Amino acid sequence: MVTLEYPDGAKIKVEIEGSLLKVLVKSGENPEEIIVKKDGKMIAEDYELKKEDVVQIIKVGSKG
Amino acid sequence: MKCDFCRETSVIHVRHTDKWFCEEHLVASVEKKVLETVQKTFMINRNDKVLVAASGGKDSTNLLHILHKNFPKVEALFIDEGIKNYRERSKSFIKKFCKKHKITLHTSSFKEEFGTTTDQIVKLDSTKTSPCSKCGVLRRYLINKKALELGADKLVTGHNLDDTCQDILMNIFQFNMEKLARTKSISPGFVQRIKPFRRVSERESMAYSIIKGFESNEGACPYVSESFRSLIREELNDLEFKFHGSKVNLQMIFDRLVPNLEKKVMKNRLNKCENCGGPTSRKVCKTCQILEQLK
Repeated sequence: MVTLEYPDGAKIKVEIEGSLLKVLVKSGENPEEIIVKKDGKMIAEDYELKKEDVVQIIKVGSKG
Repeated sequence: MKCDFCRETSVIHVRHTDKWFCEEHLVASVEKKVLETVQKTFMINRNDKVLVAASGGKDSTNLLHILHKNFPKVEALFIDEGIKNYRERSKSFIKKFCKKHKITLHTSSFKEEFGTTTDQIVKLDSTKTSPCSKCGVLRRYLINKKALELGADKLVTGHNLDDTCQDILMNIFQFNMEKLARTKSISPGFVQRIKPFRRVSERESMAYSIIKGFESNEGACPYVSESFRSLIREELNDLEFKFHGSKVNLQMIFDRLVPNLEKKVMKNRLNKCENCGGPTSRKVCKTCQILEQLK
């Protein structure tokens, strides 16, 4: 189970492990709209996530 | 994956070019795209006074940084539209940024110029049309007015690849031929607007900002969910994810079509607004129409 943390404090648990891309798709996020950080550093979509990993989600487009 | 340009671990995959980047090469790639865009299209002459419309968001902040590093006369302009709990943060970010990087910052506001704010306009609006359509018109008017007053040769906006594609599709879906054709032309009464960030995607821009450690206001404007643009943005991102390169292809096709479109559509010269004297394709400009409705 990988945990996605959002800037507003919300957390989503995704019941999958594997590449970040797989996790994002499973969570319903469009990878084109976000950047992901783990332990304070940006990670690319092929990063292999394991159970209990926690990542931070940054939304890229928020203008009006 | 390793970075496509060195052996460092990559931090981002840029889908439209299918390249993997480490932090250092992502920064270099974004800066190269901006400078190539400026050089290839002769956007900025060495002695130009360049005014960057800085909103405090990531795109204009990044662009301000890159242009200030590479051109001698670069200043910033911040417009406060009067959106509570949103613009105060942006102003604070851009003030700090300009102070740190020794960039001259000019400010203006809807309140000073029009005697009202976007919040008040939304409150009083009986038509319930999108707040962005009114705020955007007034903002563009004020940015141009200030640029003229400050003697700017070029007015820079932080429109990125995503913004440009959204503009193209919005104008097509709204059958706004004139607006679609006018994007590249220079009109009397307007300081020439340039968009050196137009080849950089929203995601690349965000990555650049994070790597550089810039503070910027990425909170959503409280009126954004009501905009047509949001819908187009979502659809385009969905398309880009499924069909890599969709945004770049749309922009390239548009760039090739626009010279012919200009010839066909831009037959009518701009008039002077009967009210304020500003340039307009109508008798009374859109800014004056909006302000009149508010009386």
